[in-house]
Amino acid sequence: MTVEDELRATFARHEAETPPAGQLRDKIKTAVVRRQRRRAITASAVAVLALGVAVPVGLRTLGATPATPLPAVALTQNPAPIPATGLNVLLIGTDRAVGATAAVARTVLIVHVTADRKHVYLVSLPSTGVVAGGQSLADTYRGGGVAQTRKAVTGLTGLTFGTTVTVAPAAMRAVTDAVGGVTFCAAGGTSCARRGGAGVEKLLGGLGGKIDALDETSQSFLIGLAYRLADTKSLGDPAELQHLVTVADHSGLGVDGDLTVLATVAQSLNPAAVVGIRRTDEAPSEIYPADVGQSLYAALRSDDLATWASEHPGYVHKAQR
Amino acid sequence: VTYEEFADSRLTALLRYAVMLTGDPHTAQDLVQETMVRVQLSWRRIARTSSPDGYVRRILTNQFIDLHRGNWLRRVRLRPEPDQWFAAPSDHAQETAERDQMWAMLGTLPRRQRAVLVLRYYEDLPDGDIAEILGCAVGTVRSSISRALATLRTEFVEAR
Repeated sequence: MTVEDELRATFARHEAETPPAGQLRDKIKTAVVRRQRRRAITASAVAVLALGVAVPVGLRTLGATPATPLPAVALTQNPAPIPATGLNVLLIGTDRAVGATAAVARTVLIVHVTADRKHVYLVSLPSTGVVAGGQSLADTYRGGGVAQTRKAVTGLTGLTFGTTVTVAPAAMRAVTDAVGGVTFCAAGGTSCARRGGAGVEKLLGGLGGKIDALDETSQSFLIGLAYRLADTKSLGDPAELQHLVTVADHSGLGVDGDLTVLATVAQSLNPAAVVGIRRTDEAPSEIYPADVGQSLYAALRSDDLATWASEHPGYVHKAQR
Repeated sequence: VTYEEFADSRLTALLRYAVMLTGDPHTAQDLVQETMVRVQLSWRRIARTSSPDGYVRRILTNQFIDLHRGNWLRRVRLRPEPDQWFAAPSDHAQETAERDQMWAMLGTLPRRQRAVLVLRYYEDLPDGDIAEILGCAVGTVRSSISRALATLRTEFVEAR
């Protein structure tokens, strides 16, 4: 018997192991419903990217009709009760290419909204920094995804995150293009310009392993995005918003958790009150120097970053246009 | 064709194909589930293609080739369910073991090579169709088949 004949016979023998299709139909149905809910929540993730401004901006640049109708966006319906505490969202920027599943975290950032809703702090955690277990944050994400990264950051800071947002370059590009470009500065305050999605991706991609420059530029970009959305005051057509959500979702924006509360809070925030906190040295192996880190994490937990910032001006970067 | 009609007519065939690809009914079920979720969510677009069946098989095959990177694989590995579909051990254990040498050897091949063999010797597809599913040149398909068969011949002879 030839190898080819043996192969055919082997495949035929193992056909009997095919599982029944009936149970699978139900599982697929359940998974589809879950995935559709997740898409709806993604609408709120756009609010996090906007860092505190009304989300349904004019998205006329997109124009086209949504390919798949999505459930109504929760943001404009039945706002959830707002807890009177500081809110923390973990934002992970990855290098995931379209169609790929493997990626490392390039930017890890805690978005902290103060209890009085007047300030947003962007606390960058250098992705080269080592966390419990001896791995860098970048490698923690590569090996363990969102769950392990969130666990590592919780272990480091003592904060719990109800929501984690993961942004791939393509999603950032899609959101940037949807708002007609974002004005921000490259590291060092040089090269301030309005860039479209491709320009943003090229700039951030070109920073490679320069974590300090990457964190600075990412913060500058997010602040610029907040201003851009604030400038575009129109409340857009829900269909266009849905389209943005679809674009972002398909291009690599992931949400883990519930963003409804934060999205509701986001509508009343002012981008001028966005403050960046980051290290300025290159590719550190510890997230923050021990004493600085401990006080910073304590301030995050107690929602008193204003005091901390006044005591550590070297780490603080105010929003600029 | 509606999604329901497609699923009714093709789900079992996709499961059989997935078993041949993965060599394991549990993994096959998860692979088909992940594929069909994507298919249902994008059905309107897929239904407009010239061959929805070919398109779906392409998604499934590419997911299998990228299997080690997929989130769904982690669920498979963590799941402790018993093996409920395998037939009960027969009295001809020795004979079965010998016959399953080929099945075991298939599991050692690179995923792309295994996929090529399944498409050729199980699905009986011509080189052109296989190349389309894998998104590669016809020449690449031929060389993959040739390499995979050479490996199996060598191992098969050594094992006997």
